[in-house]
Amino acid sequence: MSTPTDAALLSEITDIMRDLFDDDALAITPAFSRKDNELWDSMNHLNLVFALESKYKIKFSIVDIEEMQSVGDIMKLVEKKTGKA
Amino acid sequence: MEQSGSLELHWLPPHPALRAAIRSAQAALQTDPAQAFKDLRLIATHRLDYLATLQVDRLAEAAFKAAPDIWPEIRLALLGSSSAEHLVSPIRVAGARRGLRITPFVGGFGQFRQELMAPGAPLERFEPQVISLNLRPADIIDTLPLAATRADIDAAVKAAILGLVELWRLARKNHGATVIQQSFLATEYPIFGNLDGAVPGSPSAIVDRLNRDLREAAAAEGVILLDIAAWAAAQGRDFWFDPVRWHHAKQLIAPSASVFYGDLVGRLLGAMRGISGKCLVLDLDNTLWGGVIGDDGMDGIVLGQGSGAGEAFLALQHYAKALSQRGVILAVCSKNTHAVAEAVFLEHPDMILKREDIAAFVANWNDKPSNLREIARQLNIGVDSLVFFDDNPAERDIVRQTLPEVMVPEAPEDPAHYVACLADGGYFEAIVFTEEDRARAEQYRGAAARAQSMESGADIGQFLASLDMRMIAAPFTTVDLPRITQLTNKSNQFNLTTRRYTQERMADFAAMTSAVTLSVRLIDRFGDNGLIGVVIALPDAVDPAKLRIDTWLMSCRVLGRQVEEEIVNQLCRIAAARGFTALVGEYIPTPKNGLVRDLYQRLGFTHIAGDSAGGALWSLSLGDFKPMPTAIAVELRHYLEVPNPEAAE
Repeated sequence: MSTPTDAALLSEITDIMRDLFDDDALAITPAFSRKDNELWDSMNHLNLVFALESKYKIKFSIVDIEEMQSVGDIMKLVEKKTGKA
Repeated sequence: MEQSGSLELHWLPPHPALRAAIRSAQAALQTDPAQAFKDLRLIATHRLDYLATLQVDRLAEAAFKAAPDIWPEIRLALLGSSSAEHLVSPIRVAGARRGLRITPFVGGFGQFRQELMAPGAPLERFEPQVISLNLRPADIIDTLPLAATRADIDAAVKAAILGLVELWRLARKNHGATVIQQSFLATEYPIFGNLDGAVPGSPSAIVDRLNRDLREAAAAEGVILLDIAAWAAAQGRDFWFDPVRWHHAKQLIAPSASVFYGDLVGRLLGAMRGISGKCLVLDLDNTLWGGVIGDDGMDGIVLGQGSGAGEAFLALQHYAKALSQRGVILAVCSKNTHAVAEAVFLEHPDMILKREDIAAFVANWNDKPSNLREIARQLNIGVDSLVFFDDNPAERDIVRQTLPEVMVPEAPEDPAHYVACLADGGYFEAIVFTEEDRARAEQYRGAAARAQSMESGADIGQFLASLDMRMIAAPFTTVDLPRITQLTNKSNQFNLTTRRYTQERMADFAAMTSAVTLSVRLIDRFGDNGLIGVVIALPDAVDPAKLRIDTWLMSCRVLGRQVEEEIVNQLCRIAAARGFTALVGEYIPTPKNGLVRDLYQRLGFTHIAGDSAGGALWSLSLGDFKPMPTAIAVELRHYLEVPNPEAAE
């Protein structure tokens, strides 16, 4: 996986969340967090984690999964694990 | 080990435009529910990953809510001691893949005993038709010391299985449900290492013992076995069990196995309802052997010991033979001359499959959907119980488009993986193996021998249009000469005159300004078929105003694609531009080219001469020629600016 720019990464995460939340118009920023969307419940959190792991061929630790509360958190973790930042 | 891959539904094709297909099916739900259900089933029959499965499941839920009665329902309860919510969508979508509306119920964590026993509990109100017990060893067997003797273990395992049988009986008595029992996943890590299996009290040895006894007890009790332990052993435990998911969310089945797991459940439920394959329909060339029998001949095809590929084809034959021994009917559906194809089964020493193993043997030049209908008719089974295995993506595609009921595994490019494709696809899932199964293959052979004639009706025009075919015709060029020469000297079936030429001779034709040479490539949406056609036309010796087709041959892989029509169209165009008045076609019969005996007639030529051996001359006047309609876009290179000696490079 090449190292995505922030904008590209945000756009890819947006795509995943649109599919997951069934909302083609969903717009997110790094500040978008679990509190902002009731669909981002514990089940969908696990689904999101797995979708990210599959897309970027990475693995999150238990601590990562628990601490990942916003899009910004996700971006930081993905960048770290794919070798950027 | 950290596992980041997933178990894919590798026997299904990837979906080219999933989101659009889902949106379109959602729209159809409002206007034409029956169509929406067909769309749903088709979408579900693709290589969906977990996220895609969640999306398709939303469509399924909406469809089932809008029209609950279109598909038969199966009410399935998942009981156990791990979380199963992430398995619901994969199971429901696997049901949709088989035209089943699965209504799932997920029991409380670790509550399975109370749920099975307690009257008035949510499970009873759900009225399950099927109860799937997804347990861990700790649910049924006490912790045993590592130092336990074999006798201790035997006694404990026996008691545990008896306890399990009691649960099965409860499920039947209290709920009237069919029981599916999942085998135990070995989630513990070895304590001794290699020695683990030899120490009766090691966790892995106990799981092995439990699974062994469980399989026997399930068969004795008529309980359906969901043997995830066997799959995990074959595919790798780490696909199935992920300690992160277990510790974090108590998921016994990791998300990376969830879609595969769903399909395992789906195929068991399908088998319960009689929805599974009955007949394996095999293509021949490059499926049962390497190469093309009509061109390469009996000693040219790749089959048998001595080459890796030859052994891979043998492996598929062995597997098909084993399927036939368990009651799966075998059939052949091949574009070939019947006698030529059949001879391989009768005469080739390395063939594992013999002619008598094939209940319906259809080899001709008709389109495959028509032939599949014919096979179903001969065997008197539904088209929806055929599994069609063919290496050619275009053939698979036309069958999927015109006969969506037929199951069409996505045969991998490497024949070494053919068996895995069929086996992992679970097309012939069975929940029992009976005496009747053993006798079945024999019965069907008789049925097929009685039926013979053909029927047809597939919408070929629509299929051809969907292929986005593009034909590129160019005069012979230096770079193409080796391939042109090879094809010319190898092609037997679609070869009007079977004249063989050396590469030097081909170079002479290329340089002759009075000759018209065509090397033809065909590209479709599956890719480039390569150089598939060769034409050499020369001014007629008797009447030089006519252009005589000295040589015309094509690769059989593009038969039935209107390439022949388009070649005549282009020949006429070029010939007219060069001032010729007519085309003259020649047919010289050989034992192998019966396929094209009537080609010129079919293409509108007039018979002008014939001989006793079956050879004939045909003519087509350019004055009143109208191009034949085809679905092929044509790119013609370097012809219409001629005469020009540079044209041939």
